Amino acid sequence: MPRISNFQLYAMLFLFLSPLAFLEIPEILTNLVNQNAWLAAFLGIIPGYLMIFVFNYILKKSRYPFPQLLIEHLGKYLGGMVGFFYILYFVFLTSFTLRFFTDFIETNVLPGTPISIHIGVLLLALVIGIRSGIVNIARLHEIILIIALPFIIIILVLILGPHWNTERLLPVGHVDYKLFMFSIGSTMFVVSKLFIVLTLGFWCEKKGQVASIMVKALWTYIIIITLTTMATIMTFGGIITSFLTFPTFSMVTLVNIGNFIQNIDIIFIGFWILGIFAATIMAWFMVCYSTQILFGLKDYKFLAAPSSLMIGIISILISSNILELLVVTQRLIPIIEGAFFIIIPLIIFFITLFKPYPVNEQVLNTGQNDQMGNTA
Amino acid sequence: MRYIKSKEEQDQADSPQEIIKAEISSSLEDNRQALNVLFDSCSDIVMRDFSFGSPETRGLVIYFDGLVNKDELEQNILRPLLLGMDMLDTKDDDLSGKDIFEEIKNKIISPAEMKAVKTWDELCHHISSGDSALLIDGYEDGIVSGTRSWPTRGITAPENEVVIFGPKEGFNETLRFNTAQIRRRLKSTNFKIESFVLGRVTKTDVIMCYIKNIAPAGMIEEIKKRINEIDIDGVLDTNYIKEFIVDDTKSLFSQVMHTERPDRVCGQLLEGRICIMVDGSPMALILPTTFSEYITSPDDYYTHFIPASLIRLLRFSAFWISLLLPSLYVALISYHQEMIPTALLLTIAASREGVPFPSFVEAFLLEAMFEMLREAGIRLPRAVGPAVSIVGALIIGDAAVRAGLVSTPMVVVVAATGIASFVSPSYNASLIVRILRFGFLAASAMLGFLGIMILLVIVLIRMVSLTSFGVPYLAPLSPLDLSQISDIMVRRPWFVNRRRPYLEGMLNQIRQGNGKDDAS
Amino acid sequence: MKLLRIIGLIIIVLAGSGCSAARELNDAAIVAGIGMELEDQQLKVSLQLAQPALSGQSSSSSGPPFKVVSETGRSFNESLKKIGLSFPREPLLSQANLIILGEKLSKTDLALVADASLRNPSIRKNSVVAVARAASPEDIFNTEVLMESLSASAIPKMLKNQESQIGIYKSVTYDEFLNKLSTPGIEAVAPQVTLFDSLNGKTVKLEGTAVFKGRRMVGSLNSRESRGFRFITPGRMAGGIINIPAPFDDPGMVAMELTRSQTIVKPELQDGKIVMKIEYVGEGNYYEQTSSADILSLENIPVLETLTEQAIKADIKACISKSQKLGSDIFGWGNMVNSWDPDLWKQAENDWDKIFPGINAEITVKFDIRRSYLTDRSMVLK
Repeated sequence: MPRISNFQLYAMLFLFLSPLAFLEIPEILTNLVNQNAWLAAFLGIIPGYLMIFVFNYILKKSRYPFPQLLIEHLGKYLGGMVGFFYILYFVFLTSFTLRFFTDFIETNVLPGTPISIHIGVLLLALVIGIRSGIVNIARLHEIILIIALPFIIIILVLILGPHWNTERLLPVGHVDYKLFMFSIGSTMFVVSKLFIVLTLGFWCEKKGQVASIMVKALWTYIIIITLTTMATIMTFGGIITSFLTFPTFSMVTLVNIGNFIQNIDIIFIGFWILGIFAATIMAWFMVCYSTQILFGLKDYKFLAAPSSLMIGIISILISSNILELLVVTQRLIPIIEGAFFIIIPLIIFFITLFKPYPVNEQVLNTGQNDQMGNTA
Repeated sequence: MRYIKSKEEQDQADSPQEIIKAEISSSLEDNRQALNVLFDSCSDIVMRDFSFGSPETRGLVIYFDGLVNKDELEQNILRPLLLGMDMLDTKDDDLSGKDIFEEIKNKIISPAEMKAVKTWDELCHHISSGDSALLIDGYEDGIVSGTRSWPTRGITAPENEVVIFGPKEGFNETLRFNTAQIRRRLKSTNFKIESFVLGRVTKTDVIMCYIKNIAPAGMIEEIKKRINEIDIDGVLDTNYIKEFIVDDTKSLFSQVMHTERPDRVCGQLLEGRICIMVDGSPMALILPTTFSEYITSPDDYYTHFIPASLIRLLRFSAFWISLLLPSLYVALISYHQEMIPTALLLTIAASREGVPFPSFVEAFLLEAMFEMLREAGIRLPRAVGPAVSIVGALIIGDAAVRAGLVSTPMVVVVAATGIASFVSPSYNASLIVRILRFGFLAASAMLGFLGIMILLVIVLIRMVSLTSFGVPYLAPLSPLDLSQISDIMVRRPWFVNRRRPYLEGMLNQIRQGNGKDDAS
Repeated sequence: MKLLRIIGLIIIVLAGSGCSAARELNDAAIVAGIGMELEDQQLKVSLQLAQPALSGQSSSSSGPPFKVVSETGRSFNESLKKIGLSFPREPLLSQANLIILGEKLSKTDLALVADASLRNPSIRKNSVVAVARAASPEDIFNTEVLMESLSASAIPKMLKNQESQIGIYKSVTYDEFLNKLSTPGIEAVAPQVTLFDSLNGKTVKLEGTAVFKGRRMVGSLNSRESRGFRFITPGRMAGGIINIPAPFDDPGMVAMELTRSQTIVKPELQDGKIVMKIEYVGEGNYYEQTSSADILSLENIPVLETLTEQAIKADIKACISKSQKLGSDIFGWGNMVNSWDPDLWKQAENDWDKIFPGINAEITVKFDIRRSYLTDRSMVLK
């Protein structure tokens, strides 16, 4: 049983939510509610708290981490089957994250290189990461967060400084409420990615603090994403933002440091690749770990190499052009993500409602501690 | 030849292999024969026969010429034996009936260190180490006295770890002098030195020292175990041991700190680390060590903490510059020209006009040339050194630029990288930077900045996976420990440093105040 | 592990062969400015290329340090790529700091280039935009500027300097420009560049501000109206000179330096009609007088302030009446109405073209004199 520190859990949760959202949320939301996108991004906090409550409740009522948790609550056969679908879903999520990012690079940075090379190079790094095991993945997340978070903040400050123009955020409100609710719903799909806590939470050093860690990760994410959406709207205005495929990126190209350093987009991508790397490796780890548990294998590390081929091929085949990819992002992903990250957890939540708290939790915990002591 | 010789040896009654395992016999004649077999063709062995006392007893002194202090041998062993038997409280000069061996050992000869040995193995080990052995006819024990003395390098300032403030002493090749230097600084009974003998041929003394009530006990046991598992013919430097005991033997990152400064060793011992030294090498190993080795130097702690912190910041940036500057430059000018300010780009473009190589090849050639120059500078005799640097740096560099083979900005970049790489306080740690620099160069040539970042991620994965004796390599950063990280990036003033850097299993973390003292 | 190594090797080899994206500087040409113009119903793209000066050679012998290449085609990108037919290097658009829109193109339709330039990642969105006046972008690029090697880098510098010195034109970046083009209730403006004959031969000069309506240019502000536009733009600004006639029947002039000012514009509904309230608060220094009368005194300061206020107000009024005459809402009043009262805007949006020319503006100007540099009394010549 691996051991993850609180800060590592925080880093993993935040990095699983943010990197893709950082790129896609401003566009999705401005498309729906124009200049009010930042408000919708901020109000994502409400579904966020809801999901945290659900996940935390499941966490408390379960004895084993996901995916054993499925078997625990849904029975051996149904649980196993749902678990299998989760594996497929995580494969899809990994491939999609990879594809979205490489497509982005392809568009903006290196249009000459075939996409398969980008995917291949990233996969290579990812396989090395998976093979090093979850403890090292957690440490990697921690370092990535320490490197990337200050950088994102610097970028936001550099952008918001010269482009501070609150008038572009006006008028607040005056929007179709259906669309507004829908846009808050879109942010829910992002915060529901906190799902991975069902596995990671069990490995946390202090299990009692998992809820507060989730809240911290959620707030960090919400603040960053609100500021980013705000910055894109203030820089481009709501209308242009909704035209742009990657508004955050287009915004970064406008950074101008002392009239000397301009077009620092590549630096931004460079740092941001760290975040994408973290998000992808987490999804991929979930693939390997779930496979190990469900099929009763000894280890998950060796699964990295064979599954890399599958993920590579799927990510190439996922869509043939950018618009299709955007449709996948804005239509398909919410549906699938909604099913796996929201509906199934809710079902489990209702099942656990009628279950007692695990009586031998105390015993189990001390048992675990002993085990840890022995291994350490 | 070998085959024939070994055949001859087999024909002989006792082969050296058998003798060495045997015990010393009581007959001096037998012993002499055994010695002749053992030290056959050893021209530097000296066997001095003599007789003493009455009734006359025959004795034999054996030593290696050049390893012993002959004056001491003469004054303290031979002279008392030959002339001073009367000092024994015997009225009739008759030693019969007395245990001559015990008498001699306790009353006559006077070296400070003395020991009785029983086997040839022990005896040989001692005389090879510079002791002299005394065999007395009729007794099965030999007396080994410490008369070691050989020409050594004096205690000089370490050349590779120069500090401006602080102690200037360095270790030398004699283990005892080195331990003496540490003991002089740590006057505590808790400072322990455990010794091992390693090397089937060299029989080298190896010591492991630590402060008992600070260093983690589990780690001490683990290191002992790892050292005891080593089976090798010779140990000539600490690196022999290092390669056996580190966690990841293939990793290029230095998992063990090398130093030749006693003050640095003491500082690290006080932080609960463990030091290994080998006779014959001035380099001490300190373990476990972490990434902080790349940016810390002992004299940080001898200067005011603010300049010391700034210098650490400087080292930190120099580390990144020496690692990434050439690859960043290549990525910028061949992939991401939009990032370079127009005026600068024009200057670069002007100097690249007519250069026949792609920028990657240009950078690679210059970097390789620089590394060669650096290696040449180390090996060459001092008198030739300046000539090489003049030819290498000035003539080749200038001529290459004038001939249009390389561009001036590239020369500037490579030179700046070179200077930055010399900032590194540890030669051993900077080796990986020199190697990785080429890796990053290749990555930047393939995918630009993206390639650099992907390689960086891979390097990061390797680094977080690495442990040095169970301590994560990027320790205060990952796993994050906010209380520790401040003493890595900056040099914390002493009055704030109330606790020692945390090590897993450390016995006592309190450094100042709080009643708990751990000295003595 | 072995499999991993093989995969890694394959990827590295592939990536190595795929490094076609690398573009050595020897194969590229640095573009300093991009010009777009309509010529014979075709789009003409002109690029000013900076020629790197070879070290050790004097640049004077080889003529001006730039080259201009142009090509016409049916679309922006066709013209741009056609340049490659007669030019051996790849133009690096990402270095261009200036975009010059031709007069004819501006007057016809900006949609011809707007999409291409927003989509293209290598066109800098924070480059300065200018409109050519009585000259083609190609001519402007072909003109040498004093003390500066490239006209494309000189024009942004000129714009920036004049703003703090004389203070007439406002520099506009391309992203702002495109944003105003696409947002309802605000129209785009851009400073104009023209050629004129000076002592040193032909050179470029800033003259006028182009006013757009929808997707095409409808007219131009003169220097006084441009100054008024600068005053009326909401926000803080600094720099500029304003001349006022000296008071008390003195024939001379007095020059005031504007050091800082702030403008606040707010729409208000009065009797069912939209009225814009414009509030200008500024301060400045007494900078010059052209007569020897004793003008600067404690008693005269309110008079001088009032005169300056009137001058500023007149500039603002001139600008408003010009834009209302052109029917182009360059101040973004429609947008302000939208922010202030979205329901009102919904009603007015479709008729905004009719409403805008009739909007009244209530202008209040407040100006304070702070300092007078090295003399505190006027120099009296006797």
